[in-house]
Amino acid sequence: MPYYKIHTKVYKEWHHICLTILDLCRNQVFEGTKDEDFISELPDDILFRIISPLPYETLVQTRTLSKRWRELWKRAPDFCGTIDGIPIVITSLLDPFYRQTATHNHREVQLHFGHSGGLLATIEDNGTLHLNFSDGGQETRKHFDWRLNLNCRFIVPKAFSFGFQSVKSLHLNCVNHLTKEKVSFLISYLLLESLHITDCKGLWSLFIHCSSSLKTLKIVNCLALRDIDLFTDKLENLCFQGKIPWLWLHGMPFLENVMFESPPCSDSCRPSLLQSLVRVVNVKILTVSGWLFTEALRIRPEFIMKQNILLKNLKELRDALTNKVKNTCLNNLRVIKFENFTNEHDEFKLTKRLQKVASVGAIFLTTPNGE
Amino acid sequence: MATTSTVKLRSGDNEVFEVEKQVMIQSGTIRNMIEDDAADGEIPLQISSRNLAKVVEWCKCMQHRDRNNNNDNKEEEEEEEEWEKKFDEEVSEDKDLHFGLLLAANYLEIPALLHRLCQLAADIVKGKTPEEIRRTFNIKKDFTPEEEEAVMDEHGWAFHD
Repeated sequence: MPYYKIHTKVYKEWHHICLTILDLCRNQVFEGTKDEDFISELPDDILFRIISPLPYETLVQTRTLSKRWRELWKRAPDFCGTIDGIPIVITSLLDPFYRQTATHNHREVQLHFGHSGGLLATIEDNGTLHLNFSDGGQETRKHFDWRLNLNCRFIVPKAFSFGFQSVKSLHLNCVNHLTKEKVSFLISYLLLESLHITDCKGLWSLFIHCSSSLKTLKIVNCLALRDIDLFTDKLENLCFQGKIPWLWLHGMPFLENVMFESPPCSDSCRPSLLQSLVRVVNVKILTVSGWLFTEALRIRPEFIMKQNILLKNLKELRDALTNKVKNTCLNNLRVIKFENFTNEHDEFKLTKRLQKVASVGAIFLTTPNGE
Repeated sequence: MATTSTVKLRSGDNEVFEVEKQVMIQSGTIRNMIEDDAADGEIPLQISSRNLAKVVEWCKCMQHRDRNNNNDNKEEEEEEEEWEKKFDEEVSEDKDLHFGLLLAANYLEIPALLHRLCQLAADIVKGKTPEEIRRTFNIKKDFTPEEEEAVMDEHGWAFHD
């Protein structure tokens, strides 16, 4: 091999080795700073500010980076403002376009409005919006009447864009007299299928008018509630927990499942409830507290006697029936579930009676033991 | 009221910066000190001189820009834009500086600077896969295999376009 060729080869190799060493040195120099994970050492607030303007998909993906990042993306940013800010804050939560362009890209948002409390709003991917109000520790509650129009026949303003249409289910918690106007305003734009009203302790009377898609209504623990007026012609499920108010149901051809769980009370409202229930003709599953059923039989025996109205399609009558059922004829009654029965003797007597009065042949009796 | 028109800032490595109060009131922390007449001596800050110098430079530039907002001086405007562009580039390329400034801006309560730096960080993250983000910032994936599976399951849809 000629000398100069060896020389070139050696030179090339030497050059390569030098470059490698240089690279190594460079890395060495930077190692002190380069390999450190600076970003994860930043406080939560700053990290959230960094990731919150990201498109939602990227934002969600950051939870896979490391343990440090796992819960960050869910953080609820806090706002301080007034009650008037409620619609804006919720719009920011609902509108996917707004979410991607503004700095508030999140599933949850908190708003504090001074002495009158705060709001925690959460949106789930299945279109469920939770609005949890806190009352700011107010001792005295003002009673208020609440009219809700959920007609949705008018066009949704552009400002609310399509985010509002995706909310199918709304859970309202602790709405008080100060926040009810804002909430009413908001939900008049929602195409709700399900509405849950919980712990609205100042709520005195409730009027709901909905000719759209509302199928489920649940009212839980609204202690001051005295009367409920419902015009909801698509309603299928009605669930009420708490002291029974005056209840007016107007034309509900699809109402199938009614549940009343209430503590025993000597309430003058009971007759109205029974009256309303008598009007609901297509109920298939009626769940009532035992005492209520007893009361029903005591105050208005025709509650059961008029089974051709009330119990037309009733397939299941849940909970405790008492032995006060006498000469009744329960057409189409298919399944009876006994719950909370303590007296076996009574149970046996009732069973016998029911067998007599019900359209025989297709009746299943279920005891708590599953017998 | 304080008598002097400047404020002295002492960095973590003992370098003193004398800056006009007018410039530093952009920092909520320092503004409070000035208002409370607590800014007459040197203000010790847990910020390195390199980062503090950069923060001061930024504050000066912003104050200059705000003061000249009403003037239609095209040349100066271009100059400022040029400076900001250079600042963005410098910060984006130097993670040490970037995150040091983030902490400084947070500590000194300078919302505009904090916002700018967060935005720059977001621009770096944007469009990257989790693996790329990890590589960019040297983030160690410290999940156990079970945890990783759980994390991936949480929002599977986020991985499909």
